[in-house]
Amino acid sequence: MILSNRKNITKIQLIFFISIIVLFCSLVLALPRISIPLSLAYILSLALTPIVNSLMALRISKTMSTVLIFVILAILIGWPLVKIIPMLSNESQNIQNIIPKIENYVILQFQYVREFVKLKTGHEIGDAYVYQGLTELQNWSSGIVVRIPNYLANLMEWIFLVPFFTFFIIRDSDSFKKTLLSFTPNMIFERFYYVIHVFNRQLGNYFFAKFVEAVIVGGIITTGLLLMDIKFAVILGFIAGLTNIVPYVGPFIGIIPAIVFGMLEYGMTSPTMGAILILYAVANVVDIFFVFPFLVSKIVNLHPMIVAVSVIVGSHYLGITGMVISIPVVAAIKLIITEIYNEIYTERSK
Amino acid sequence: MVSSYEKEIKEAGANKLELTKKIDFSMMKYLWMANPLSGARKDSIPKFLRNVELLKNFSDNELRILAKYLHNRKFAEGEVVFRAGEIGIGFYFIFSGTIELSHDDLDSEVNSEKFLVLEEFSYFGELALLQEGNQRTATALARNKCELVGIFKPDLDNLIVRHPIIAAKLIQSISIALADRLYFLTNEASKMYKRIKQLEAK
Repeated sequence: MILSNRKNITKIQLIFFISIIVLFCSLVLALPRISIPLSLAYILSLALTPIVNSLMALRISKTMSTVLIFVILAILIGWPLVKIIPMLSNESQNIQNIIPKIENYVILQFQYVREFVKLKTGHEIGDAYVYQGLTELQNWSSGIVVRIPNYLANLMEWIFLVPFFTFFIIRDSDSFKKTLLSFTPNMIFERFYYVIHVFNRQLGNYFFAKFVEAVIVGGIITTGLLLMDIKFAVILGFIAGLTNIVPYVGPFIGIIPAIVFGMLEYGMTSPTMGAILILYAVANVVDIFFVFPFLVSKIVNLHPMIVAVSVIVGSHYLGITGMVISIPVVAAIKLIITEIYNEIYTERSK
Repeated sequence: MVSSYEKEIKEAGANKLELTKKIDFSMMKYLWMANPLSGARKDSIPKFLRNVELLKNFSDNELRILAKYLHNRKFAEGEVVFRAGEIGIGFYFIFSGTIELSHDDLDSEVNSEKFLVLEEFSYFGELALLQEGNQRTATALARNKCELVGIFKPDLDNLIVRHPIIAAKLIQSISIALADRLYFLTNEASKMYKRIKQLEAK
């Protein structure tokens, strides 16, 4: 019999275990609609687990501490939301007026350039391209408006799914882990347990560091914009902080809304615009030279090229979520490879 | 009326009468214990830990909490628990079966030297919990079908954060055991040192 031999059983256990892991990974890649909120929930749970742990040290049960945190979060997030939503709807109405403003601005600038060229060279520039571009911009913006219900549906799904998943990941993380470990073959048990432990810790540290980084960058920009008395200061600062989570590309994405807004409100060459650009530069310099080296790089020691490639691959498969989680995932893969490398090349070859 | 149930069965057997129907408590108890939802299995690990000498300063409730952080591992006859030289993170109690500790790597089975055979309620691998990047000093092999209960470094980390008192007690217990062993070894070493000096003097 195949099963009567012990070595065969060990092999079958290993194959069974690996196939379950492979199945899980392919499901994550194949079902982004589930895996995106699931990964967000996982990230959130990593950030919240330390708080649950300290509550448990006060002899509060795990379920109770999880419920407690959720109630506090609901109040902390819900209360400002009630206050902010009317403000946001006001501001978004203002934003609706921005598209015609851009149009006017471009046409004005174009006419100015045309006048200038005509004066100097006597030639008249055709305006077909400009108007074509503007129509495209209009189509694009109306396209967004058409797709808004779609986005909203997704957002609503996430608003329910993410806390739902987070709650159960936090509450039942121990039993999930125990189940996974219970069918881990004996021959790789200790190593595997160690690797998933370090993986979780690294991921947790990474997101904690990123969170602090985002708060610092967002805080600097918000304060600066508020001091300059610029409209949408809080929103712009929030966007800058949020996009900062994505390495390399993030800061550039974060500055786009500020440039667009500043250009329309104050003009490209105005001193305010210069001040805004300097503020963003200062925030990023602080991030690059003071925050990043002390917080993030100690946790994730990856070559910049690998970082860039993993961000691209991540965005290809899971969109923005992919960009956010790609770095820690790659760091974890590196960890696993190092572990296997040590196993194969150093210890056994002694 | 008959005085006892046994007598009744005897008499009924002798007279070939039918027994009076009674509630079969032992059967009920068996069915209750066999019920998959009963906590019998969960209780068995704290009960087992109660009998481990190392954990004698734990209260029952502390053992119940500690049991939640332990992992059950089953090993077949001849299966390796860990090998000498491997990086270890686990500390094991023997729930059932026999474990054999030997010095040499199993690859060279010819001159592998067995130095300790451990039975139920014993423990091994405690250094892995305390040392960073601990390398196993011996190879542990299941001599027969074994069930081990293990606690691993990540579990200890969680225990320290969530139940500091229990973690402190566990570390204290392990330290006491290690201190005893170190004391014994120091004595042995000084005896050996004296013996060597004596031999050198001759």
